[in-house]
Amino acid sequence: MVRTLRLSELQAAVKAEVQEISGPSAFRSRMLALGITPRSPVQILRRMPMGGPIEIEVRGTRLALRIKDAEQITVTVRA
Amino acid sequence: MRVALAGNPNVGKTTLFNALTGRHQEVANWPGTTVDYVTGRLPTHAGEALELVDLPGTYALEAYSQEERVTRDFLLQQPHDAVIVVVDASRLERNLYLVLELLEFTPRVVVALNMMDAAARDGLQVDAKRMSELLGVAVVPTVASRSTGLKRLIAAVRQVARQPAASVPASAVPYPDEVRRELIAPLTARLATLQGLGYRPEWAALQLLQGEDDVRSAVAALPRGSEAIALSRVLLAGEEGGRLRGGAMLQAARVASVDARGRQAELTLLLADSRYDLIAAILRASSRRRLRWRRDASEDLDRLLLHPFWGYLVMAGVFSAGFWLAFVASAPLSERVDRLLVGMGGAVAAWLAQAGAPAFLRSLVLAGVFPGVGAVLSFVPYMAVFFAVYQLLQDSGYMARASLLVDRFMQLIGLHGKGFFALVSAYGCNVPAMTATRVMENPRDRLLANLVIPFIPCNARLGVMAVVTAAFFPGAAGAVAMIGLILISLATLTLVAALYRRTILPTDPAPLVLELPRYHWPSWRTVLLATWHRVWLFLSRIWWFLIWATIAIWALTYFPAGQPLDHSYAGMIGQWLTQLVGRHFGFDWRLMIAILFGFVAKETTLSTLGVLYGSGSGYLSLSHALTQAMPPLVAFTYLVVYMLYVPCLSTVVQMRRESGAWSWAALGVAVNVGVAFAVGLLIERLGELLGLAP
Ligand SMILES: Nc1nc2c(ncn2[C@@H]2O[C@H](COP(=O)(O)OP(=O)(O)O)[C@@H](O)[C@H]2O)c(=O)[nH]1
Ligand SMILES: [Mg+2]
Repeated sequence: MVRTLRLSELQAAVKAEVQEISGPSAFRSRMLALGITPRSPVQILRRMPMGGPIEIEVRGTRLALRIKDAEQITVTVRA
Repeated sequence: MRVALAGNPNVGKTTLFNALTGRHQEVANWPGTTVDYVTGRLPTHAGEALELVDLPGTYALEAYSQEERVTRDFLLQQPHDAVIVVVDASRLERNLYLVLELLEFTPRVVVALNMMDAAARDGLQVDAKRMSELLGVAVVPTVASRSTGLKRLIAAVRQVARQPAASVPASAVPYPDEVRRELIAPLTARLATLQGLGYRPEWAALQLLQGEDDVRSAVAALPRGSEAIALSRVLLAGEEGGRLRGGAMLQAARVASVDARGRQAELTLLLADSRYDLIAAILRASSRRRLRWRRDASEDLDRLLLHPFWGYLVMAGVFSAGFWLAFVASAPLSERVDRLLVGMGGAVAAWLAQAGAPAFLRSLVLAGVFPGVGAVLSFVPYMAVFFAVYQLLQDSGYMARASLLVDRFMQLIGLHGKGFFALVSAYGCNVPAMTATRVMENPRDRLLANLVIPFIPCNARLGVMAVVTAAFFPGAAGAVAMIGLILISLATLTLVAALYRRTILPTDPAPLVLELPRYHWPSWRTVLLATWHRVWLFLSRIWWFLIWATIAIWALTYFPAGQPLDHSYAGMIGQWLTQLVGRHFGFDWRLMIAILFGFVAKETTLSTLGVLYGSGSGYLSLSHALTQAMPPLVAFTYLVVYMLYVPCLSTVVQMRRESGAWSWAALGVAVNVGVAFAVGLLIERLGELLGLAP
């Protein structure tokens, strides 16, 4: 079964796959250059306390994103 | 021959650059920006002279930050013979994206496969030869931090610079056939017919189809260029237009009803996808990951350094140590420089007196020129230490972690985590703190930080505040007063930042993206060279202003000649300011003059007050004189104003430099002074209401 959710809602250490990126075009092209594209595997490594940014691993690099930005990215998880 | 170094941030460009050029380097400012870049020459033993340019790091050719803009503008507009793209061998998947983009833009590319040691430690084996075959350009393994592979790299660069452009295939990326056939090919063919197009036609076609503004305006400026742009619209609408010419084409573009933005976005996604597909194929064929026995040391460190409790504790420790080194440990050195110059000034003045020079000349030397030079030079020790610490934190990869830890809290004042170090270091000195705001990509964020940094009391101000509070509020009350003052400055900063955000500097929709690079041992050479560049840039730009300003202030206090201070021009200004503003606060003319003079350098405030109150600047006599002259409420109000208004001339000059325009600096100063007095007035009235006035 495949579940679709926002990247911000993903649990840490669960392997997911990027589905879609919404938001302004500057945001989307930035994500593309950083390797966040549809079908790329992604995983949350840790969350900063008190609703701070999340650290993700994507295409072999580690990035931090704010929750607000991570909400623009939908991912799918295979259960 | 001119060669550019490009690559993602933190891949070792600067290390490679330093290893190649040694000390043959020059820093310059990119015209119209606050971005500095470094050029260097290769020691020439054999072959043509080679100039190297260390470009700011970039994730893609498309610019997002001001730094990336500089890189893009350089590559698009400045003549160069080759580009070295530096990639991190241990993070190839994302790094190769830029390589593919650059390969579409220019055939003269050499890939420096850097950090081969780190990749090997990860158990990653990369076959450079195979990768070179697949990419169609030279790929040279290097370890910049150990100067390995440099000879082969330069040999490859020389070869690529010589080879004729036509011998390299246009694009290696397997874009979907229909995109090629229906969009790229017809537009490329059309662009190839244009006279004076400085770019490869296929690259320009891809940019136009994605709605890239720079390229569009460059093409529009060419004869028949607007037809090519029209064709891109027609093609995006899914119609055929390859054979249309002139007015018919423009007409077709007008009627082509198309959601151009939507199509462009779709296409961008498709192209990016194809690039990543190719990258995956290349990596499958040219790299092998062996089973990893050793654990990832970076991850182990992160478990501690990003820990919700220990992480903050370590950060407090690291920053305190850095702060101590930069502002406390270096203080004796600054003082010595200062004293040396004062001594020299005295000696020169004495010599002038013997030679029978007029009094004003002696005074000019003693109170104008030498203190001015001293003000510039006494910056050097803590600037140097500060920038070294800053570079060390940056290069080791720790700064990114610290930014991540504090981002949540920095959002409260509308800034992101990367600005934290700048704001904290402003408690030491506002001037280098403004330079430290450059880590923020977004120009608006950076501007905001520069505008609010002066509200943070620096070392010099804190010193004066400590003396005055101790005089008026003995014992524990002094600590309470001091903490009160600092809280007032924080609250003011938060409010003013929010105000700027609401009005002229709204938040960009741009995201916070912070890459967390692997931890590295910083290389001393890189740290020292970067420190030297920064100190030099600062000095070379600021000395002129500071010396003139000190001389101007000297002239105001000295003339009309022979009058006591309160009858000098400065005294008159002080009197006038007292009438205008001071009296609402209970400040007499002496306090107003001290505020005015504090503008040159706040360190001098105590001695100015000492002179004005005729007490000398000895602590006991001064505090006695002050407590006699005014009630505690006035003193506290004075400190509030003193703490908040523009710290000193150097900050203003620096604000101009970092914001790029005098108008921003003027606005910053105006808001700063206005807010300082407004908050002062508020405190004074509140105090009166609470019955604290005598
Ligand atoms: N292990 C290793 N570290 C390197 C290598 N090249 C650079 N570094 C380190 O990587 C960090 C970032 O390098 P820097 O030259 O500042 O990267 P830039 O942002 O691309 O200019 C520094 O701490 C360097 O010492 C390398 O080949 N191997
Ligand atoms: Mg660099």
